[in-house]
Amino acid sequence: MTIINKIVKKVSDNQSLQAALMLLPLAVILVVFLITPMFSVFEKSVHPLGADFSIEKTFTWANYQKVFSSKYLPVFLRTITFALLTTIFCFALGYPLAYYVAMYGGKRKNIYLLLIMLPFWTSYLIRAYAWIVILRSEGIVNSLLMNMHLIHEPIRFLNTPFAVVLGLTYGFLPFMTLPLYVALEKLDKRLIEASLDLGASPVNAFFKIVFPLSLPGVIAGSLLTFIPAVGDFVAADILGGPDTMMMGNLIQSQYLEYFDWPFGSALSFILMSLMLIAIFTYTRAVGVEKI
Amino acid sequence: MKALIGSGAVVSLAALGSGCSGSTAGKNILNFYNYSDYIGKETIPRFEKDYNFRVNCDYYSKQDILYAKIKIGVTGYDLIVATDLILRRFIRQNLLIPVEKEKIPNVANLMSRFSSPPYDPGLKYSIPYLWGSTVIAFNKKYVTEPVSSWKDLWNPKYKGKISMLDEKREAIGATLIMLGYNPNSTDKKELREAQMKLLEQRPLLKKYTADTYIDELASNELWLAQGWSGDVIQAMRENPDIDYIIPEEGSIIWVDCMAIPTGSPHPDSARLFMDYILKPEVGAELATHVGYATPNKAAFDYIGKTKPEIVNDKRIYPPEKTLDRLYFNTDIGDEEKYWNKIWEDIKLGKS
Repeated sequence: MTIINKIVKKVSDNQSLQAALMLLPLAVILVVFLITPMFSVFEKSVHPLGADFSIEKTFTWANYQKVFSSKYLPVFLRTITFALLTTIFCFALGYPLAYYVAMYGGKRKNIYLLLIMLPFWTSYLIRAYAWIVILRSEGIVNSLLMNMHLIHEPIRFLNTPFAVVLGLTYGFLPFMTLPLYVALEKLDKRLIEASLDLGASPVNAFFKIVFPLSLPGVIAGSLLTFIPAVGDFVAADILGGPDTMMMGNLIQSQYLEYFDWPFGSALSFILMSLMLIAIFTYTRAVGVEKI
Repeated sequence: MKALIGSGAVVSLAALGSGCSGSTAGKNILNFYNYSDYIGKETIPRFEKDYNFRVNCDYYSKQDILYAKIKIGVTGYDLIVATDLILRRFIRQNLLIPVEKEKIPNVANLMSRFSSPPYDPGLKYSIPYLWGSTVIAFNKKYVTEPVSSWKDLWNPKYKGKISMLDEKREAIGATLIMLGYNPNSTDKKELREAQMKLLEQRPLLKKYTADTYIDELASNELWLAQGWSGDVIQAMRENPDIDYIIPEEGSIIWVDCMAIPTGSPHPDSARLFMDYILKPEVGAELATHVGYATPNKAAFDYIGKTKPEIVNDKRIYPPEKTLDRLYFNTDIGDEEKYWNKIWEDIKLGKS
């Protein structure tokens, strides 16, 4: 018997070894792509920045103290606000869209889905730039409003919080729409018919039957929108102005502009931890098993 | 083919981009890392054809990104274009291979001003690529009063139509010059004063930007902008209402240089390319295409024959009197940390 045959025999005899081997790929992925980078970020965050922007060997919590200095609080709050607004707007736009496609899409369902996805074959960066062309003072929106004599001076849309939230909302809309679509699509339509037969008004049927059953989609969609929106820096960079800096921009500048990797790492680590706490609380409150 | 496999990572990075060819078989390789939109139309195709090369181009939008990449050291680039300030840091940190200028005969074409510049005496590590100065661009249609001083960027009349460069050494540097100080100052009192001045300007700004302002000037979004000369010339080509000046208090001069990072797989290819750039007709096409000034005397004369209006433009090739008021950015070492703090506070709107 060759060595390989021996190993194969041993594995097929031992069930717990089999299970361990089957989990191995997942464990490798987690270690390589999650635990190692997180550890490396944490490791950098507990050292001071030394001479010539090197990272010193000594241990310190100073970077974390700096994260919680009042200077950065407005950036934290702004980031959370922008991300929450983005999630709400995505939901407000995505729900009716997903509802329509799932309930009334008929034969054209796949075409509608394709149309939702289509813009996202273009780079996010380019789509953000496109908003500049639309929103600028001689852009489409302002020219239209001026020609209709609704305004006399162009409105300043660009480089405002409005533009940033708009860019984020547009950027993450499919992340909200697609999970909602999946939830609404697999919903048993006979339940709606039954409720209507039993005398429920359409509004009642929606809020008592459809919406609760689509909750898994709402949860998944809002997480998939909120998390990347918190970490985003492209929208604020391209569509924002001096007063729209988000956490993503702050972290990026620590790494690339100020070469303060320890502080950048501390900021990233705190942001990750806050996100984990928020997600945990949220899923506990609404029930993660529904997803 | 072996060289090709080795540079596979760079090849895939370089898939996009202008002027970089696709065919590969049996050709020499050059991995080139440059500012975006910072090359002549003919520069790369002609080099590839004349020398049987394949040039893999990769681009950065900010010097900081170049610095971070070279500092980490995993690049595979043969040739980089770095501004004099970053170059000083690279030299200090031993991140470059000497260019060995005896291998680059066309070095003789350089203007005497650039044959032994302050940032790299004797050109041990770099060959000048292009140079220019920091200027104020303005839109003649909307900005009615004459523009002459950095102070004009503080005019409340143009609130929301002004931008400053998103580079601390430029924005703070210009403010220091305006206040009568040296733009390389490390004096905390002077820097503090500059910070206050910039915070005063902040509500008037549309944004801090080092890249989008070209487009925004061209589309009348911005009426007053701190910018780099060649960028502004690009905006002028699209919008004839744009004009620019070198402020009377003085400004910052910079030289973008070609250099070879340590670990370059093909340093001799890089040297060959440097020699090629220093040819008069190549340097001339490069400079006229991107709008910056050439450090190359032979190329300067070449441009003078075909486009005298460019070599006579006192803003592109300023006279001695103006050049005396243009400062090089110097490497301020660890004092940069204080600059960083000030710049971050300005960006956060904190005094």
